[in-house]
Amino acid sequence: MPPTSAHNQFIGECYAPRVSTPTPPVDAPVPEAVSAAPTPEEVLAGEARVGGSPRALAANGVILALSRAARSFLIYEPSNEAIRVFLENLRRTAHDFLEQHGELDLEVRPFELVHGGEVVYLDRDRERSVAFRLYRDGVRRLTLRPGLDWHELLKLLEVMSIRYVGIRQTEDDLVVLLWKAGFAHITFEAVEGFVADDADSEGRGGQAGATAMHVDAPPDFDLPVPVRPQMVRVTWREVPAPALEELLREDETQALPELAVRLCEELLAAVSTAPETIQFADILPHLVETREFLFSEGLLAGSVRLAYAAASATLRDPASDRACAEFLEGFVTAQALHRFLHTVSRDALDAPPELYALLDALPGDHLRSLVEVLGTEQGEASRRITRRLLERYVAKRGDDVLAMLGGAPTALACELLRVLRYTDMDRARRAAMELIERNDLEIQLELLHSLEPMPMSPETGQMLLRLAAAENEEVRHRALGQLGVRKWTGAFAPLVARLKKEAPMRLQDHEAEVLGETLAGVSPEEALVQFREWCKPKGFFGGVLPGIGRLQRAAVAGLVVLRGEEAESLIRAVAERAGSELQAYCTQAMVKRRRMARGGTP
Amino acid sequence: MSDEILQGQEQLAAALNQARAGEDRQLGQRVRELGEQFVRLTNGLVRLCGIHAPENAAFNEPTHQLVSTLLRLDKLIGQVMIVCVEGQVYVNDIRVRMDDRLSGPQALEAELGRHSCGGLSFTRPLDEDQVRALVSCIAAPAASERPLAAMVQALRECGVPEVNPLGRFRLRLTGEQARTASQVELQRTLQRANNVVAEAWGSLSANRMPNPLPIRRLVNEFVDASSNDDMLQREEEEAAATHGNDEFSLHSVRVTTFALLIGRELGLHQAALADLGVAAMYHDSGYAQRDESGFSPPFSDHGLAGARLLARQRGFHQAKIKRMLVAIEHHRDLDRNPCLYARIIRIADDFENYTRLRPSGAFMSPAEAIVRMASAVGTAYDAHLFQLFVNRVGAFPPGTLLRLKDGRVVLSLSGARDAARFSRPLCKVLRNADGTEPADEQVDVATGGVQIAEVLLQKR
Repeated sequence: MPPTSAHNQFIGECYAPRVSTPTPPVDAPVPEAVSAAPTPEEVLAGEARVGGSPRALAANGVILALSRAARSFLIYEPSNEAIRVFLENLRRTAHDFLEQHGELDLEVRPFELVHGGEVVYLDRDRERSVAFRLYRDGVRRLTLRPGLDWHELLKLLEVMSIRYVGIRQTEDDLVVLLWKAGFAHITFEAVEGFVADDADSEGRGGQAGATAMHVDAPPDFDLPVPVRPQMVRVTWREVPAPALEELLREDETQALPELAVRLCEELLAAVSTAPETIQFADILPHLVETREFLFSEGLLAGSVRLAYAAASATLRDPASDRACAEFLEGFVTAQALHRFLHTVSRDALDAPPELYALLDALPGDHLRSLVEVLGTEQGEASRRITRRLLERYVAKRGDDVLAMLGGAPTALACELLRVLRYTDMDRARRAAMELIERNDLEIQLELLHSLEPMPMSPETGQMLLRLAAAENEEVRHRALGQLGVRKWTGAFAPLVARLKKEAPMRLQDHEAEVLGETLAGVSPEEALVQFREWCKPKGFFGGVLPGIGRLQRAAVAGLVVLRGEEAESLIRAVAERAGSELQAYCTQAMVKRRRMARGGTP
Repeated sequence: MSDEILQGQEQLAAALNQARAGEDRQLGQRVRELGEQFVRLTNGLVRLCGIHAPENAAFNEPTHQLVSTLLRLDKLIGQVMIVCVEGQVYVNDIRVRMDDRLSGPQALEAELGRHSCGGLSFTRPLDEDQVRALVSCIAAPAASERPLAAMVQALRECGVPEVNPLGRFRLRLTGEQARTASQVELQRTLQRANNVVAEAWGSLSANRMPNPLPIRRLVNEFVDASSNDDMLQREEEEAAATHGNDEFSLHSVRVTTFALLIGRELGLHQAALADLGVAAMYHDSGYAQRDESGFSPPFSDHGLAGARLLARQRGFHQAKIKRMLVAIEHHRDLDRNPCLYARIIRIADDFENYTRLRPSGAFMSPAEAIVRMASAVGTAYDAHLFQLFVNRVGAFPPGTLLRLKDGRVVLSLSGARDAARFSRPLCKVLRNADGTEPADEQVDVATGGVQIAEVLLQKR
C-alpha cells in the first residue's frame, strides 16, 4: 500500500533541515547513489540499532517498536493489517522488557535516548527520529513502569501518534495530552511551557512593566440577576449514585455528536432570529467542521439534522444564501457519500433511510456524485448500496446515465449497466448495444448478465450472437447457452455458417459440441435436418468434406437433446463410421440420451 | 492476532481521525512562518545597527517587512508575545521551528539576553519608526545595572510603549513544585489567573482568534489545585485581597472555581473537569465583543455574542463545542434543556452574581444566596447539581460574613467539610467583640461553644 497523503503532509509540515544526515542502520546495506522512492517498510525501518548490554538491546527493541507503531499510522491506512503487526510487536517487546528488566527509564536527548547510561536509540533524521520528536515537543524523560497494561501503552501511542501528525496547535499541546491521559505506569518529565526565571537578578517574573491589554466588562454585566423572593432551607443530602451516573452519561464521548448538532441548530436558529448579533458567515467554518466530524464518524442521522437545520435557516442576504447552498451541497459530494457508505453494514441490502432523506432534501447533482462514488468505491457492499441509490435517478435522468456510460471506465460501465438492468430495461438494452462495441471481457460478462432478463428480440439475439463469437471461451459458451435456451431462430443460420467455416480450421471439439447443442436448442426441427446432412453425408465427396469430423461431433452433441428415434440412429450411424475418438464420444452421447430418457440430466 | 490488538488499532484510528478533525494546521503553520520571519528580520536589523544608523535606507525594506509581519501576527493571534528560551522561540505558546544555525533563535536570545530580557510582548503593531527604535534599543549596549529596567525605560523614551520587554525565562518541567496544590502556588495561580483571563478578553475584544491554550494550562492548574480542600478558602482569601482588580476577570475565575467544585463533586474525570473549567472561564466572553461604538452587547445577547467569538477558533474539538454551548445556554432555565456544563455553570454564575462584591457591595451574602437559589431548584437549577454544590459549600459558604454569639465578626472560609459540619464552617476572625482586629486568627464553629448569631451583608 502506498504511503498516505497524511505522510506527505507530515513531511511537508516538518521543519526541513538544510543538511540531513540520517544515521544508517548498523546492518543496513550501503545505499545506492540514486534510489527509488522508499517503500513503507523502508520508511518504517532505518533507525539505528544501538545499545550493548542485553538490557540496552531490549530497550532499543521497545523504542523501535514504539516509533514504528506511531509512524505506521502515517504510512498505512488506519485499517491496514500491517499496523496490527506493529502493534503486536510493541505489546510483546514492552511486556518482555518490563518483565525481564523492570522499569524502562529513558532520558531524552535531541537525537538520542539513554537508558542506564547507555545510548539505546540514535537517529539523526529529524523526520524519523523518535528522540528528536520527543525532545522537540518538550519531553525530557519518559519512564515505563512494570504493571503497564496494554490500554496505557495504547494511550501513549495515541498521544505520540497525534503529535506525529502535528495537529491541534491551539487546543491541546503535548503536555495537555499527557496530562489528560492520566497514566498510572508511565511518567513523563516534560517541558510544561516557560516560566519566569527566578534566578533573574531583576526578578520581574517574566513581565517587565507589562501593560496587558485589559477589557472592561460593562458595569452592569450579568444584570439583572434573577429575583428569588423565597428562601428555602438547605441541608446536606446525599445525591443518589444512579442520579450521578445519569449526569455523567451526559458527558460521555457518545454524547458529543448530539451536542455538536444541537450547537449548530442553536447557531443557525440565532442567525435567523438575531442577525444583528451573529451572521451566517460567523458560523460557517464551525458548521463545516461539524459536518466533517459527523462524516468522519459516519453519523447519518446527525448529518440529516444538521442539513435540515441549515436548509431551514432564514438568511437575509444573497451571499449567505449562496454560502448556505454550498454548505448543503457538501453533504452529498462523492467524498461525503463515500464516508457514509463505509459506515453501513456489509450485509445491508439498501441504504439507510437517513441517506435517502439527505439526498431528497438537499440540492446538488446527486446523480453525478453517486456515479463518481460507484466509479471509485472498492467495497462490494458500498457499491451495492450506491447502485440502489442510483436506481432512484434512472427514471428521471436515465439518458444522463446513458451519456455517462460512454466514457466510463470498464468497472463503472458495468456498474451502470447493472443499475439500468434493474430499473429500465429499454435503456439497459441501449446501453448494452453501446457497450458491446468494447472488446472487454469484464463488460462482455456483465452484458451476458444483462441480456438474460431482456425480452428476446432481433437486437438481443444479435448481441448474443456477437458474444457467441467473442474471444473468451466462457463468454462464447454462455452466449451460446442463452441462445439455445431462448430459442432465437434467427441465430440458426449464422451458427451453422460459423460451424461450417470454422470446422476445418481452428474449431475445438468442445466448441463444436456447444455449437451443436445450441443449434438443437435454437431450432430442433432445422437442427435435425442439418445434423442428418452431417451424420449421413450424401454424394461421393460427402464423407470427406473439410471438417466433417467436427461437424459430426457438433451434430452428435445436438442429437443428445433431440427427441425421437432418428436422433439415436444418426448417432449410431456416426459411430459406425467414425474413428475411435469420435466413436467414444458417440457412446457417451448415447448414455446421456438414455439417462435423459429416464428423467435424468445429460 | 488477538481481538485486543484489533480493538487497539480501531481505537487509535478513531482517535487520530478525531484529532485530525480538530486540527488547525493552517493557523499553526502561519504563526510559525511569521514567527520565523520575525526572528530573522529582527536579527538582521539588529546586526544592521552595527553598520548603519537606523535612519539609513538599508533599513527600509526589512523594517517594512517586520512591520508587516507584526501586523499579520496581530491580526491572527492578537497580542503578540515572543519568548526566547533555551535556544527556542515561542510565539504565543506556539514553538517556532527554525534552523538555529542561521540567524535564528539563539542569536535573538543572545541579543535580548544582554539586557536580561527573555522576550518581547507587543500590545499592538508597530509603525516603521517604532521598529527602528526597537531594534536600536536591542542593539544598544546593555546598562550595567538593572539592564532590563533600563531597556523598558529606553523603549518608553523613544516612543515604543507598545513593546514590553519580558524577563528571562526557563523551561519548566513536569514534576517541579510549580504545578502542585501547595498553598503558595495556588495563591500564585489565582493571582496569575486574572492576568491570563484579562489577556484573553483583550484578544477576543480585538476580534482575534481565541487561543484557549493559556487558559487551558491555567485551568489544569486549577483542577490539580481544586483536589485540595484549601481551594475554596484560598480562592476566597484571594478574592478578598483583589478588590479593585479587573472585576470581569475575577468573575470568570470565581465562576470557574465554583464550577470545578461541582464538577469534582459530580465525579467528572480530570480531562472533563479541565474542559468544564475552560468553558467556565469563557462563559461570559460575549461581553468582550465591541460594536462600532465600542459598546458591549446587552445581557440578553452576550451568550450568543460569546459563541460568535468562540466560533472563530478553528478546528473541531469537543471542548470547543461545550464552551460554545455554555456561552449560549448558561442563563437558561431547565425547560430549555441546557447542556450539563451550562447547568453547572448556571449555578456557579448565579451564585457569583448574587454574592460578587460590587463597588456598592454585594447583593446578598453567600448564605442568603444559597437559600434564595434553593427556591429555584427544579426550574432554574438542576436539583442534583445544586445539591452537590450545597453539600460542598454548606449553609454558610465561604465569603459569608457572620456575627458570632460572643460578638465576634468572622468570615466563613471552609464551606461544608462534611455532613456534620454543614452549618459549622471554619472562619477567619475579622473583628473581636471589643471592636479590635486580630492579627491572623481563625475559629472553628464546629468546636464546642462557638455559635453563629446572624449573617451579615458585606458592604464596601
